[in-house]
Amino acid sequence: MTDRAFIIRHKVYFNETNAVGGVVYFSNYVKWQGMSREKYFVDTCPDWPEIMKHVYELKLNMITVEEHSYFLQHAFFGDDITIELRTGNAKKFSFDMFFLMKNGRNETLYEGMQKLAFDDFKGKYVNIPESMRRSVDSYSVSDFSIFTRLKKIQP
Amino acid sequence: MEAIADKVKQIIAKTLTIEADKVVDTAGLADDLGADSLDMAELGMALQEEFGVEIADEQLSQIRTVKDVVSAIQSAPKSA
Repeated sequence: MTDRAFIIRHKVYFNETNAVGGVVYFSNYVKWQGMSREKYFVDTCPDWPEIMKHVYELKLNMITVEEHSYFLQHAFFGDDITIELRTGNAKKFSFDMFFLMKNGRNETLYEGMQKLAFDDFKGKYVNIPESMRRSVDSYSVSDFSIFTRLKKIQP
Repeated sequence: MEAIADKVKQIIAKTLTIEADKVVDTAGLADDLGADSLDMAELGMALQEEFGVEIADEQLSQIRTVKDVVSAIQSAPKSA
């Protein structure tokens, strides 16, 4: 296990803020989770095109079965956000992703997690694709003390 | 037999990401421990790998309590 994180950066756009106080609208944090995980898959799974081929052929379905969000501080238009992605709880058919989002002052804005599972589009769970499993193992979090709120949903 | 039961309980706790002291014989996997269909599938695989047994999907679907899991492992045929 390592404490390696997959990191992307994002500048907050005006259209991601709301009318009340100009702060980032809450659903954007979940959208940024999605952006982060997509780049993670594309960049770290060498056979990602092959995995997507199985998806398009309806042989492999990647399902988000769970999502948690903890909002700790606001972000604002123009902020530079760092999104750190780590993985964990890898089992045969599923694994978790953990997200830490920080502002330019290294203050944590948000902690989130999601659980992904795989099935065959017919309700039968299937193994995590092998290249993805290797990637998940290499970004697996070993120290949950880096999270202040996600610890509540870990044993 | 006790060793098997203890190992089964460890696997249940790890698979369901819950504290070990909640995994008591009478606890219902779904009703008390919150297991869903994904958890049950993961549990079945983890048990088969640990004990080298085969548990049919139909048998897995009949399991209700922690004690049922232990009984299933004790009576399951070894994998070929």
